[in-house]
Amino acid sequence: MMTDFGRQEYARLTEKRALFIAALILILAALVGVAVTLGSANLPVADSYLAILAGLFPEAVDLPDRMVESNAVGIVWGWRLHRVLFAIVAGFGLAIAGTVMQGVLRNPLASPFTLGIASAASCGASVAIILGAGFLSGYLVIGNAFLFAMLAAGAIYGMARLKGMGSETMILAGIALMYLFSAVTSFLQYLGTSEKVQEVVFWMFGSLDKSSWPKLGLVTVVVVAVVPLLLWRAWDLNALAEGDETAKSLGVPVERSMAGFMLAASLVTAVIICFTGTIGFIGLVAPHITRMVIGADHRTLIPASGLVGAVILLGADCLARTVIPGAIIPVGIMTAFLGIPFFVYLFMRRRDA
Amino acid sequence: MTHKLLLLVCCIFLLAGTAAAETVPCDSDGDGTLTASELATAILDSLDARFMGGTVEVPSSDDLRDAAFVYEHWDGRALTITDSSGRETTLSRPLRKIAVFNSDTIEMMRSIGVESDRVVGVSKYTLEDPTYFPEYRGKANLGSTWAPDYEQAAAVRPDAVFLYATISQSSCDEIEETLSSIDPGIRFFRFDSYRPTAYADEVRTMGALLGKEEGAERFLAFHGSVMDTVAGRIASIPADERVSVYLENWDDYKSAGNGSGYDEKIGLAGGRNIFADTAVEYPAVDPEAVISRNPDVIVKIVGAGELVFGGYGDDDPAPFEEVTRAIEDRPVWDRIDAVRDGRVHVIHSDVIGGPEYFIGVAYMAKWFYPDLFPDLDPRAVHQQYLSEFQRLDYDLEEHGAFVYPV
Amino acid sequence: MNPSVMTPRRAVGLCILIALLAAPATAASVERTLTSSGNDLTVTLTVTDITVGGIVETIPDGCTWAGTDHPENRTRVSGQHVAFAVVGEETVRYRMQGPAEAGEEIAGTWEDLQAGESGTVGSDGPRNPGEAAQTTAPGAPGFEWAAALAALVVLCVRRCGR
Repeated sequence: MMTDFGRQEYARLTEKRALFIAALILILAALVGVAVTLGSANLPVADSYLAILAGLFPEAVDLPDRMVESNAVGIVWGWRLHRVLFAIVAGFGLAIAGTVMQGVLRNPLASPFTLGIASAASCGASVAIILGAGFLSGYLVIGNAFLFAMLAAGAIYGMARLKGMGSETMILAGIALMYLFSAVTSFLQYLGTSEKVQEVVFWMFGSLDKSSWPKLGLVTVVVVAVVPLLLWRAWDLNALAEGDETAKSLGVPVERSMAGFMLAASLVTAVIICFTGTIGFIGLVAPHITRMVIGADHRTLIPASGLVGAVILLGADCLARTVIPGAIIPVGIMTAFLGIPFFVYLFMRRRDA
Repeated sequence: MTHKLLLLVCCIFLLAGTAAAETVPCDSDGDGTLTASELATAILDSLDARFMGGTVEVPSSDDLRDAAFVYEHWDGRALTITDSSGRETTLSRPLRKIAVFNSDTIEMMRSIGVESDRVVGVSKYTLEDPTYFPEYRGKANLGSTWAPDYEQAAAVRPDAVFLYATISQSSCDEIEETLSSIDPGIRFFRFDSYRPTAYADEVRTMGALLGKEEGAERFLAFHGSVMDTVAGRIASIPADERVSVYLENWDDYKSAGNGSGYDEKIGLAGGRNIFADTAVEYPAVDPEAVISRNPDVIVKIVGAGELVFGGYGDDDPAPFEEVTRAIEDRPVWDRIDAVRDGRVHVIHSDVIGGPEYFIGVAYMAKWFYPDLFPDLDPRAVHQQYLSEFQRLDYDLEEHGAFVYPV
Repeated sequence: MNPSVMTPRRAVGLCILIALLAAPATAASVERTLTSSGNDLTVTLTVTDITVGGIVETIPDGCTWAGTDHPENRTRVSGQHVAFAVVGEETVRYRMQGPAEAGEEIAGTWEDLQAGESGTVGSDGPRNPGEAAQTTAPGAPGFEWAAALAALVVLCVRRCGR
């Protein structure tokens, strides 16, 4: 019977999804295990793990002399661990932001970057670095990057309200904003001294070097707050992905939902890239990969692509720290390099379809 | 924040054996002053235990050496240092392992006689310049202020880190924050080591901090002999008789405006920057504006951008001459006094920026007022700086290209 | 660091270090001169270039300690050894009771606490110039180590299996 077949297929799909998510969690755990041992301080593998234990249970662990000398505990807890966790949370956040945007805009090329949010953040960072002007004294770059990103999101929302909340409107508005903010950034670079320009360029590469425990905490809080809300409303996103009329007929408040989703995605993106700089491709690539494996039901697509994003970013960071001995390539460059073969693959695959 | 607490507990646990006390070492009565007799007692205790079979409680050899330093250089008391960012730090022990992110600071430290064995890590720019910093070749690579290598910086276990004071402040603040969370015992000092107004103060502060007061005074005497001579002789020239100068950096028509370093140095050499009224620090100027303002002298800086030649690693003066010709050949620029009188000079950024700026000022003063400075030989000054203070075996007669015309 | 323990490796390292280090402008040293009148020996130690340091002299058997001009709180006598703390002095003078020939058998070491050098009284220049060379960190075992070990084990098993 067809319904039995349907149920069987659906059960198989659910099983596939569960396996996929489980596999991702395992890969992530393995990556964490490797990532914590990587670094130019050349700590022995065992020392890195021992240092983690020593940080958690200081009384119970008796540290060998070489670890006291090398300050392994300080290096692991003060530098490596929060960076690894930050990579996971940032990758997760950027991926779910990309998934939501692609769903709302019904455009597989949508990402926080195509909507000008990343360009706005770069512009804010440039203002802070080159002009020394900003909103939060002491946190000029971070404050500016966040505020300009949210400004861009607000501008897109405003323009969409004016012209009707269609996906085309939003994308056009986003591209216009992207060019606007890029132009302003270039102008600021023209004005600045070479050191300041170099600083801006470095910021725009995107890196996890600036992570710290408080920043990790802040980003985690935002992501953990947003994800359940997105999952709660994931069905609306499924409907929106079918088209505005379909969604309306299913009872989804289209305009409000779109605004809400865009706000959530922009917020998560802004709070991440204000600390890391513009890390691209995660929001673009992770949803695609996940969709190819488990389909487009956002109830599982969102968390799964989040995990894929985390794996990609952590993997890219591990590569970035090891591929050139002695140098740490900014992780944004590594993700860009990883994105290229993916797009080539997509391009080749298109031919078959 | 629990992690920070755990880390703190960890560190206390680890440091239990080697209590990093903030008191002056070997100060047995704890009054904050190490007297000669306290020091003598510590020395005797140590010799007693090591050579004479004594069983007294012995100060560690590190404590003893630190005590000797504090007695000799800091009058037996803890030293309070104010660095160039205004931060005050109190030290009761000398700095033995310093990580220096600023190449200019390494140069300044060398001027006052600090040996390279006290530096455990340097920036990648220092390592990329083995001609000028040969003895630092094997030091750990700390990256740069924008892209620091925290693991290397932590692995060398420095007791102090030197950073810029006025450049890249946010990056320097981040380096401080991250390194502090890795190792709370590290002290941070901010030194620019290139700004003319802060130069003498920084040299003296570094001298006191590193126990090189004599070296600092000797170097300042040398530096002062150049700068004070220039300042003294140009003081008598009234403002409207000062030589007007157009300065261009390695990018065509990029000049220096109000508040920039080059503007300041032109002033120190007695010149008047024709674009001193521009608010932008490094404005792109209109060639016609240069013609209409008709400077007496043109100074062109090379050494970066597309004009990367000259300096310490390059002996060829030909590109300098090409640059001069190119400027003289600019359309209508032969109307400018500087071009007509042949007063177009090229100088390399190494001697006009950084801690060697006073050599650049000497050259400029001589170019602006050759009659006032017949006895000033900037090249001899440069050679003395290299041989006596930088301890480099570098002969300016044979090597290097820094100015044109020579 | 105990300067009196000279392992062969340390000796080689120090020779290399001596070769590499530029010779200091003036070498720190302590010279000993003796004057004797009958059974009284006066030993004068001339300290060059040591602002804060210590000297330990070993008086040969058969001689006895007879006092010094050096301040009391900077002198310590224990058996046949006498330790002097040098804080700014340039000469240290002490007296012994004993035959004149015994003066040749006095042994002494000095330490310069500013420069971290030490040496023997009477010889030229420091024996241990500069701080001990930083020992290179042992190669940190990592995954490559585990892989190499695994390869070795496989090789071993193959060999043993033959």
